[in-house]
Amino acid sequence: MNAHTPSESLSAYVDDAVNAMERLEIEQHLSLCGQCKKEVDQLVRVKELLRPQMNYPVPPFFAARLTATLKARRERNALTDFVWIAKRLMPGFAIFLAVVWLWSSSPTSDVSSVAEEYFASTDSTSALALLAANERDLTADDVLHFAILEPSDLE
Amino acid sequence: MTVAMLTRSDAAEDDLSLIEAFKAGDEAAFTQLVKKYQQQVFNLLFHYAGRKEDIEDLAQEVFIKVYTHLATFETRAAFRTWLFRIAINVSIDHSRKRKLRQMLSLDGLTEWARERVAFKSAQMPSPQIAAEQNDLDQHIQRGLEQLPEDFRKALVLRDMEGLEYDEIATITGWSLGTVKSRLFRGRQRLREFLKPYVEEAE
Repeated sequence: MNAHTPSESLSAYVDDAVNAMERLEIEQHLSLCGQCKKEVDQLVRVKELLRPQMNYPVPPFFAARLTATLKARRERNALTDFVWIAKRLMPGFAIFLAVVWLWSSSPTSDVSSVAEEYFASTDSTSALALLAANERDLTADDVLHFAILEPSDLE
Repeated sequence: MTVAMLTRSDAAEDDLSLIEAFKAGDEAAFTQLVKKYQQQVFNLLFHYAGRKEDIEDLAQEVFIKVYTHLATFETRAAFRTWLFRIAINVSIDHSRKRKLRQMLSLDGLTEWARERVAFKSAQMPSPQIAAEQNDLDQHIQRGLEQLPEDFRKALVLRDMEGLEYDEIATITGWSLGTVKSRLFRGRQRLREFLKPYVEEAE
């Protein structure tokens, strides 16, 4: 008689997890070896003992409850995402507002308001004369003032 | 190619269609996947984690994980093995949290095992048959519990859930040789533990 089949191979045999050649060799051996045959019978019995006799009952409407749970999570996640994004954008937005406010309140040259002030404060017929009286260098604003003055004012 | 392999191949193609539909925005496709696999997931959780009052929560956790990650699921892999791997991991996390191994009661049977036995008894057609089955079930539960985690995992996946060796290898990350070895060693230990019941059948 051949040497006994390794028990690990017998375990795979009862699972039908051996190739055709191995199966043939094992079955030939089993027909001659009572000890290995007994081992196979016991392995089959262990498998039988473990085999479930019934399905675990799935609770009614499980899929419907799961779908509802997922929907609630999606909605909660959407809100959470919005808050998360808002929290992260908030400092940048605050800085942007601060910059806009500083820029708008800085003493920039507002041509129209300077021109209005000019016309309101003088009835001079000559802007050049006014400039001469101011005794200062021409600025960018002055140039703009001249550009919007009536030609008659310059005469 | 065996009949089992053909069946698995057909099932995998169905899964693939549903997954593609879900990725395209069809939520109903996910519900179909749930309905298709919910029975197997409940069985696996019951056999592996026990504690039936937690099972629905665990099953929800499993499918929520699937839903969350399905968009990035690689369709080259089999959905069923991926799903079972998630279920096994959820079960293990659950067991660790519960510290089931420290919950031994006076008669040596854990709460997990008692619930399983009670559940099975409740399904029996008569109290007499239930009583006859009770001793055997308790022995089987004790036997499974005294096994190392990996042996128990191998036996549950193969003998209780009926998975093929390659599926078990994918789920656990073991080689085929390791699957074969752990199944054999698990059965060997369980055979010793259940000796009276095993020899009775001869």
